[in-house]
Amino acid sequence: MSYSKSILTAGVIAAVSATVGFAQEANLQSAGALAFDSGDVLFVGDTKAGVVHAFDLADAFADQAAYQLGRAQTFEGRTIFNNLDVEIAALLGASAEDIVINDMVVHKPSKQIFLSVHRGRGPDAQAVILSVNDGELELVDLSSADHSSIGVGPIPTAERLEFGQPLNTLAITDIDYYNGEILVAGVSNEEFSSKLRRMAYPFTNEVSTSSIEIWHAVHAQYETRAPIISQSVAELDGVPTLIAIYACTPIVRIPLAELTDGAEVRGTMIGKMGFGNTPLDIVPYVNAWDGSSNVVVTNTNRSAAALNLEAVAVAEAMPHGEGVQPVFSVEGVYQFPLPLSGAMHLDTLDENYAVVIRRSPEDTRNIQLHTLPMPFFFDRADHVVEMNWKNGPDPFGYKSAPALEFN
Amino acid sequence: MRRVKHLVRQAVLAALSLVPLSAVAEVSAHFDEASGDIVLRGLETDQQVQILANPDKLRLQVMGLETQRGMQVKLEGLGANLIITPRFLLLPGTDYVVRLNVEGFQDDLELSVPAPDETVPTLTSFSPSQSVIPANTLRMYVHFSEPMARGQMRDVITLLRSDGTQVENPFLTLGPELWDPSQTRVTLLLDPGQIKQGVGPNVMHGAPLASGNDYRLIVSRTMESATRVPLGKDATITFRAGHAERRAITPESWQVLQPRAGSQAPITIAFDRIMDTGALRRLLTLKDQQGRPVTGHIQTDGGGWSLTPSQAWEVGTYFLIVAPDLEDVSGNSIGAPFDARAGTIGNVEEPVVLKVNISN
Repeated sequence: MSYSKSILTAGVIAAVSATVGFAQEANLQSAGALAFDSGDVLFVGDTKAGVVHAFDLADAFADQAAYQLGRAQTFEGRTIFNNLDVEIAALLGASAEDIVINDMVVHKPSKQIFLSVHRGRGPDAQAVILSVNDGELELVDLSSADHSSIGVGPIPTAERLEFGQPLNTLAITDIDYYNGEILVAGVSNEEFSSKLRRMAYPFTNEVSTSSIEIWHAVHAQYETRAPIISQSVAELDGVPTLIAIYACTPIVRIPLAELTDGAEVRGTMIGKMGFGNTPLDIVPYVNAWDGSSNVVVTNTNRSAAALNLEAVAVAEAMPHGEGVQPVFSVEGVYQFPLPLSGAMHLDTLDENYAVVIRRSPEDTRNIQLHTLPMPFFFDRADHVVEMNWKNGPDPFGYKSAPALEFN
Repeated sequence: MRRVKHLVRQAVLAALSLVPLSAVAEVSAHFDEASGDIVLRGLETDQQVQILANPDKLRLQVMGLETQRGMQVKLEGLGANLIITPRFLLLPGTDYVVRLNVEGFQDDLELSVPAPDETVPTLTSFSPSQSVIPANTLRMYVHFSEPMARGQMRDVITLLRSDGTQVENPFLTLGPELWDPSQTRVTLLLDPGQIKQGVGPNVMHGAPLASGNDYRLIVSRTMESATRVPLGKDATITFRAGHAERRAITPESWQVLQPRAGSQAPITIAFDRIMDTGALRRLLTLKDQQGRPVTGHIQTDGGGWSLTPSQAWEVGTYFLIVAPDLEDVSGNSIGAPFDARAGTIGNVEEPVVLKVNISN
């Protein structure tokens, strides 16, 4: 380069100093599953480092109360971003193909949305955490947060390192916080393990692992081990209970108290989400219309479904053992179908709105960050609804509502 | 590292201040590899002042992005030059554009970041490497010569029967792909729902692999390395599906070939099935009388395992430690087969220890 050459020939030490003042990145090797505790601590699953990080973001939040999320009364959500991947790419100086959005979580007290993102698809991809502030994308400065971490993946020992760098990893698929503890679900690339990891926060370096054997209703006579993909902890009749979803889509109920270190647990299989489908997220919510507690489960190949927690609590174990015929479809505990498909990530913002990263129903190339009115996770504009037609009926007076103008 | 970068940067800035104005007749943008900065040359002084006073007048983007948003940058004026320090290192092999909108000058200045060496990746090995594998094989590994890009497995792997028909959705598609940290080895999980006996997909569609049939696993030529270089030609792996393996692992039934004391001949194990090569390297260890791990060179193809010690064997008892998590290619473990009759799955938490007596 002629530019470099000119430097060499000049050979002069500069007198002008330039201070680069970007915040230093925290030592994230990768950023996947996200969760908040009940306060301001953000947990980040770092598959590459084999750890879960905890960042106490304390004063880093900006209250989003003034940001209008839509109009739930008329079933109208709000698109916060079209082409979210392109917008993130622009912020990070990469092409949209180099951007991977791994997870999304909402900080409930401030309603701020947080995203874990990779810049690049190679082993040296940079991991960043982004937040949405008043409809703007921002890089989260993790360097000023109190940080701690705990190992969850395989820990290389000196003797093993002699045979080269370890190849095994635990892909962390979900983190959930409940009452001073986190539960970490993951899939190993070398073992088909059913271990569930449970650890206290603040971290004590103790990881309790339980081995869970489950009945598959679809298995009829057979039982098996399998890794949990996504999970949520809820109190069923006052008993803290893990509701776990597996890759081949059974829904399993396990009282948290049974998950002690080294325990071998048989979960109660209470439902089946239908095969040919992988669950993505399981998110608890309260139906503000009737006060009931529920979870919503999003899927790769089927639209989302809501499960009422009272029904989950009393659901009978699905039949199993000799002579039981296999189940192929949605079975067991009642699943209320929701008009929500194409969802890549989902969380709730408050009692009236959820937020979703989804492929636009009108153009699947367009990845949207979009709010959905609850409790039906339904945006009228997404659907062919006769009330949307120019001369269609309007029994609920949607059309008389003034057009929405967002701040 | 940061300090070195700082010094280089100082030198760059100093050199720039000495470049005569006549040498930079028109406005242009250049990427400086040493510092990672972009240098804008040829701006009028007032234009530079405008930009420094209002940084929104400059946007740095990857070429072709349709958005008003620019990358976060720091700006610094130095003589006739404007130094742009991007928030993140610009990506190799990528074209960027600096969009300027100042009075008297609106233009897009293009610059390219040189691509790294474009080494063409190859598929180097596949495991299990045996020509006949169990029909209920759960896990396969594909190794590559270069780090590969994440997020493409769903589109680049095809499993074909001998008659050329395609096996539909044989692999489990999880959100995250199962790569090793260097991204040179990927784990493929055959859909457990289809392997497990009596499961809906298994009953309805049958297992992905049927005993006695021949298969071809094709990795598409379009599969790209982390630096976006494709394989260039399809890679084909052939195997035949044999009998399903549904027994728990029993280390007692392994054949152990003991070397003589004083030699550095390998100790060799012949398994009664195909074990998982990834798990074997980690979960099978040999210790000496004092409980110290025996170091050396390990070789395994899953059917056998050998360790050539770095020091000669001594007379006495050695211990083969088999961790409870060890699995064969079908996911069977010591505690239990992959799937079993209800109520029969057990769980083994302790390692199994096999004694190996070495004598003269």
